[in-house]
Amino acid sequence: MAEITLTIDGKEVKGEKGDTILQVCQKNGMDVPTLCHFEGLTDIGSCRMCIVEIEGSGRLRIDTACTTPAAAGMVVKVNTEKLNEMRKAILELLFSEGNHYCLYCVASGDCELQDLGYRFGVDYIRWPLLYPERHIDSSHKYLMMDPNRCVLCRRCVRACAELVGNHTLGVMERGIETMICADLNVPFGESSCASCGTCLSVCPTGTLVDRRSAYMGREVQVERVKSTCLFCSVGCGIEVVTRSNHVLRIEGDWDAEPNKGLLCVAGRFEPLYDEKRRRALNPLVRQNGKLEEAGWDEALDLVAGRLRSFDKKAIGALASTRATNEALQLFANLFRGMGVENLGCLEGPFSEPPEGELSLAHLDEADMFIVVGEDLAENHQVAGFFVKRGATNRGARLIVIDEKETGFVPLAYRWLKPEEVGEAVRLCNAAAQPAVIYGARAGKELEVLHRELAGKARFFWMAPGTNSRGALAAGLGRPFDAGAAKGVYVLACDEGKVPEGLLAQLKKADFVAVQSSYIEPWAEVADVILPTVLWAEKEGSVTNLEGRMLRVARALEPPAGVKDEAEVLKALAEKLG
Amino acid sequence: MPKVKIATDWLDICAGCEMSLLDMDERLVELLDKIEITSSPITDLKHPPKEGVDVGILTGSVANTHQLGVAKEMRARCKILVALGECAVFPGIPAMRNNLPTEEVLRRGYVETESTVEGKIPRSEEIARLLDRVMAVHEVVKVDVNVRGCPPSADAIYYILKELVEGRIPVLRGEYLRFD
Repeated sequence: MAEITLTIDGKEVKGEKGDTILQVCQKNGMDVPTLCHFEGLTDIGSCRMCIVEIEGSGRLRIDTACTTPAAAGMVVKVNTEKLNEMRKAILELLFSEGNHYCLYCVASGDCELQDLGYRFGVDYIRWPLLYPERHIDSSHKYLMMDPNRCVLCRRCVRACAELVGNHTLGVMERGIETMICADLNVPFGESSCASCGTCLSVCPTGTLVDRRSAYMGREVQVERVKSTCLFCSVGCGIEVVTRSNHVLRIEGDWDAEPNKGLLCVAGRFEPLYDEKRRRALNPLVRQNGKLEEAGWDEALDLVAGRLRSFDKKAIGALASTRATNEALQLFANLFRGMGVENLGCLEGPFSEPPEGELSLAHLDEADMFIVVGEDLAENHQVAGFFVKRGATNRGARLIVIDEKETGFVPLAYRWLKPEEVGEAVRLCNAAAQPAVIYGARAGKELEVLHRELAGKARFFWMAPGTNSRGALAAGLGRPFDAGAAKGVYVLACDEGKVPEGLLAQLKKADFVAVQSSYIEPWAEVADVILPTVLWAEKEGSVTNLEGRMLRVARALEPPAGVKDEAEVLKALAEKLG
Repeated sequence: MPKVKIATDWLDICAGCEMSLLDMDERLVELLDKIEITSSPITDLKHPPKEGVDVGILTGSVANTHQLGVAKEMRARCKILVALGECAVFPGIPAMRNNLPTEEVLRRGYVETESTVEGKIPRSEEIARLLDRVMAVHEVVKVDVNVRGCPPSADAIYYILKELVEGRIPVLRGEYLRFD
């Protein structure tokens, strides 16, 4: 890239050809006030805060730095009294346009508009306030939209379109009537919104807010812990926002791979909004048909004693892939050490994953996506965002090969049934960088694709479960024979979904011990429940579908009486001798 | 040096700004060496002295005809006028009714409230009429110092009074500039 030199505030600085003036300023550590600018989104110059003076040709030229390309030899002024007066006036215009009541706003103290108001000393507004009538949209389950606070920066519109590829948010009307809307101005809760929450994470004001955590704590009052989402195998980097040992909300980590700040409803909202089960706080032992509280020693002695009483062929051990690598290794070693071979995962069995580490970032280079046997609108949604944004913004062709009409079919160039896989291969001839994304329901058509597109397409395995790669590495990928197991140990973690029929089969077993965070769904089948930590209380590592090792960090102190995953297994191992 | 004479009054308020002023605690006693508080809602005098004061302080927004008169009288009888609090400057909570017709607001407040039985909107000539548009103090009279905040902190109020006593017009920045 060619280097260019320009002068900013009297200083000679360097940039690259193609940079905007704003980019040159930022590269050289120069502070330009911005509001609608957001790293990763296309700049549009809607807020006018980044205005700069550009000298030349005798006339006064004032333009937004974010939309003006820098040219060699340009002389730019960023920090002048006149520009700062104008920026203050722009802020007063913004404040007078809506209904900006900081005094009861959920975002007060953490608002970029307010911060700019403080920075430029907006102590009163010189123009009459407009008091527009703007109605709050409270129809969405997880977030609220209050257009009274909106400055029309359009970050939400751009994020929904460019990062997620969902294109739900748009802008309606013109001039003073302009406002953000969902789809064709339908209530947010009835729109095509996928509840990924990206819009609320980019909103600079209190316009889009998470309902549950509203007013529960300002930035200075909360703690943040970077961790990894455990709700599918994509392994998105998250920031858990806590206060007084409670989780307020889950945010995306903008620096983390593979998601770079994006999350989906399953990782951002559902763990907090939809969890209704009872937490297991003490070991529970079934006596006279009912689960009664017991001490750890008593419970572990019982589990060890009962397991020892079975022949090793009659013992079965199941793990949830929500467990960390460390816990899964301990689990596998413990039971294999006893001679048990009937081992498996709740989400299994799994076949071997593709060789090596494969970064989801490659999906941003693909010009064709073939999605096989997986509904990316329901599962692995963040991986689906890569596909959606490529298909809707870059013109990449999307081909869905599926028996079911998945949520991606409306976006697809072609929807093929598995037996029509040959057509997909044929269409691939026109593609330079095809990507095949396959899930648990992919069948023989996948073998055809592997054969015909080897060396041409990149293959991405949407591993079912969470730490499935970790489970495979621990040798837990083989099928589990529930019928043969008379004594069963389940490392359930906080898993809520159970394979169909498993509970019915476990009812027929002689003894079932479950290491679980919640009492449900094991209440009817467990003889012993050993309470263990939640997703937010764990420390360890997991391996995502890319083969990338990711850290899970503890964000909450677990309740007293609840033990760490590995700790329970170690204690059990000791009892077993 | 003669004491700086101060008069205060309140318009459409919650009295939070007055509470914040009292929150200065013993600093108020210290200030009384240099200031004299003449009329205020918490003393006995109802109007600012006819001979005028140095500093007039108004809290709250101008929401009815009576408050309009109070604001004008204060402006006429003081040299420096301070608008104290979000409602006086922005104009805050009372202005939330500005995009609603006044009749509707009166009906909701006097007739349709859930606990009211056979409510009636008071129309007597003797009481103030609601203005159709709630205004900040600076929209009706010239204001010299605007102090935002809901309420402004006792520290900010102490700072302003000290600056005024020293003969300077205070400019609020940094921790003293708050919109909430």
